[in-house]
Amino acid sequence: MIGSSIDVVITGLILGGVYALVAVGLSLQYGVGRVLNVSHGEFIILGALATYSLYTVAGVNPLLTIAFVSPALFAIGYGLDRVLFNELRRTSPNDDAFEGRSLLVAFGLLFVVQNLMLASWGAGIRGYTYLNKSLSLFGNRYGLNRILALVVAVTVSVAFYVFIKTTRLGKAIRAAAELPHMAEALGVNRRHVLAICFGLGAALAGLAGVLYSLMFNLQASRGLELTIVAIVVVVFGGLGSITGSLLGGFILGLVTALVNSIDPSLSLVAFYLIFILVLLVRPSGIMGRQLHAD
Amino acid sequence: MTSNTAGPLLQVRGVSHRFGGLKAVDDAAFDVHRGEIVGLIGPNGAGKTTMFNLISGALRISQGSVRFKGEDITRLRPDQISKRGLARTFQTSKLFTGMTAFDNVRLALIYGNPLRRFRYEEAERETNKLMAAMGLLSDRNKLVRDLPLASRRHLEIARAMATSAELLLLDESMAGLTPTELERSKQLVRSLRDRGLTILMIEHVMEAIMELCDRIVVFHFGHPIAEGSPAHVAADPTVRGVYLGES
Amino acid sequence: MLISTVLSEEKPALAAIPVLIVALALAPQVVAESTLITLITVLMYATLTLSWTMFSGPTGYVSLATAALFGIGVYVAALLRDGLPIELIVLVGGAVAFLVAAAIGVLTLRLRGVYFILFTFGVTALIRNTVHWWEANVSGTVGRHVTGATNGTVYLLLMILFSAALVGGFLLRHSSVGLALQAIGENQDAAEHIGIDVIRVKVLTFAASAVLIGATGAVMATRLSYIDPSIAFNPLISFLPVVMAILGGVSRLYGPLLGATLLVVLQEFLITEYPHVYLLLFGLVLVAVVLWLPGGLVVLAQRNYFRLKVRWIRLRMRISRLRRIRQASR
Repeated sequence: MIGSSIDVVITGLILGGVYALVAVGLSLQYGVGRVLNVSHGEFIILGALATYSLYTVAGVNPLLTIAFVSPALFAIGYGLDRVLFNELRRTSPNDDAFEGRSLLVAFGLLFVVQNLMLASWGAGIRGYTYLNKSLSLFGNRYGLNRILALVVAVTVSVAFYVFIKTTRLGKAIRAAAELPHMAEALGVNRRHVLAICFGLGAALAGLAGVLYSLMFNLQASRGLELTIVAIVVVVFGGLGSITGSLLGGFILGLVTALVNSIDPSLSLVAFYLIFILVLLVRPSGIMGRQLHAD
Repeated sequence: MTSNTAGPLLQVRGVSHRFGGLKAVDDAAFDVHRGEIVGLIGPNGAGKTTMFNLISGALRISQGSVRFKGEDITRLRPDQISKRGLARTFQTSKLFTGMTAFDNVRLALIYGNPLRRFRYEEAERETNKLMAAMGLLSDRNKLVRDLPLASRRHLEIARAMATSAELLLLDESMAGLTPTELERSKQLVRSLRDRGLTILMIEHVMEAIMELCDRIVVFHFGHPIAEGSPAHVAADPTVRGVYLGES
Repeated sequence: MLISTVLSEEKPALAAIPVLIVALALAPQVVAESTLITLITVLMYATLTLSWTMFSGPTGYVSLATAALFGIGVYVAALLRDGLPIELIVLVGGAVAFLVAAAIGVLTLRLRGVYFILFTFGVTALIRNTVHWWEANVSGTVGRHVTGATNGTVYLLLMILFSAALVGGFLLRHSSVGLALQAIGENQDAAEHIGIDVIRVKVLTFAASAVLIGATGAVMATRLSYIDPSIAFNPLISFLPVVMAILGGVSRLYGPLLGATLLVVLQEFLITEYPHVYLLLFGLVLVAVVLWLPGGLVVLAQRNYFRLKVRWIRLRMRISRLRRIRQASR
């Protein structure tokens, strides 16, 4: 009994680590830039497929791939923000209009990136095995690759949290997020910071993709599933709260593992049910800023 | 709806409102009697517009009560309050800029009058009448975004009037006007009162307040600190202290 | 708008709508079967897009619940097909969609902006996955077969629904409810303060717009013949109408129609040979339109229409001036 409970907890944490990492990039992009980037999942898959190709073709260690994928995606994300979303910010009459329009542009990006991937990698399922040895923990066996993914996820999450809270750039990011119109007066180059945030979000997506490829099979069309997970976690944790996304990711990972142990086919239902309930009961999420009365 | 002609038209009692940790309105109480023009003045941030928002239903009242024509309107929605004859304008213009001036008023006429269900032609006639009375007839078919400031202010009032208002809350409708436009606006307010309207106005343009108001209520930190005729309030030392540095 | 203004400004529309409907009615006699099938897809998406625009156009509340409402119609048809005549099924599909949309409306209309979009998306996914779970665990069968109807019947029914969407859209735009919706979209606070019961208007309009979406789903079920939750509640059915409406532009009635026709025709060309190209183009079009042509193609059309109109008027003036000169010199 205890063994299976611990199994649920560990599986939940592993899953949660992935969720947290997948979500925190999106949270950064929305929390600071107010862009609900529905193409986020596509960048995760892009990172995953890139890792797959580099490993199967050139034998590159997936962990090393992070050093290539993340900066590349950072550059892409930075560029996209400066070119697309900055233009939208300039021409939108108010925040609501901007959010709606940037959502639509992100949809467009979703279709573009996904279909580029489908054209390049095809629609089939791909996968590779790395570190397939299993480790025995509390009486259950877990793949080493999954443990590794969890360790990396937790490390990155903590490092990121520290970065946001303590470094100068981290503080600039928070300023741009919480006081968008004041930040410039405080000497923050808002356009630059926003683009950095978007780039960082994409870089984190790439990282999540590398870890994802370690644990799951890949399909070029799976991006939307991941985006949905990210959105649900971000809303649950609180739109705009990075800590909320990290925490929310782990909580939802545990919940999913729990539901899976009862009835696997219910996990998606439970997932969306939580999403709906959060929106109805507490749209600001568990850690989000309270919304105004109107 | 039979109106209670006995008591005050508007009765505010013990209303408070916080924004997070800040108390914007603090135990506010005052009356407005039928046929009066009452001024609501005070330094910036004194809670005047918040008070309007609480009265008109834009903000939910959690403490205190508001009675209009003898009826408790504390828990009512803005559209319900509007239909009972309480209308307001906004400090930042909330006109429907993508529509014509005519449609702005016509919409208010159709939706703001619960008892009279207007047929198409009747609605058009009534709207034309109202706009003519406000001097806006020539601007009828122009889009709001193409209208100058003074016309827009008058349009806001026309739109509020279209809901058969008995009490009109004016939020800084005289700000930023040229002397000629200011004179026209003051005339408009007087003519509205002559037509039986009661007016409560927030204003920083002191000349307008002094000339038009029968009574003035002075707000400071969300609470009325003085009340009385313009001369009385102008002479009040507390008021002068509050306004030190402001003209 | 004054009735006289409606009649004069909207003369093109008032003339075009009956002509269009008659043309569509005659089409099955003249066109090839393959074209008819394309027309069926065009009508389906045109109806969905027009219905979507009824609520989401003026208010700016982007609804992603179209797939949910459509899928409900599909399942109504699947469940009732063998008992009732198809016309009745279509009505029931519309009615159930109305009720579900009303429920969604009541629940969400406190939410603004991005939260509404997310909620409609979440509800759709919840419904899809719940139906899937139910079919798998309770009914025992995930897919269902629906007795088919002929292309002719499907076309006829869709044509009726499309006409209803067109007429309904026209009436809504020129009614006080339509004006109220526009007011809500521009400034909800002000709308409330002039006596508009904003929640009631939003819920009723949203629910009414759902009727045709559900009815369309019921009709299309007979065309698909095999359905399952991922087909009936396919997310693309939510996304495509949004893109079509934005491409075409929501400020005029023909905008959604234009956008739907263009994208369906494009799809027909590309989908067999280059499916990825179609969706790729779709994404690029969306980005381009939102960035550079936010009003949609309608804006371009209006500009050119006025330009042509001005040229026509100038030409007539010139002709009449020449005539007068000629007469004076005699």
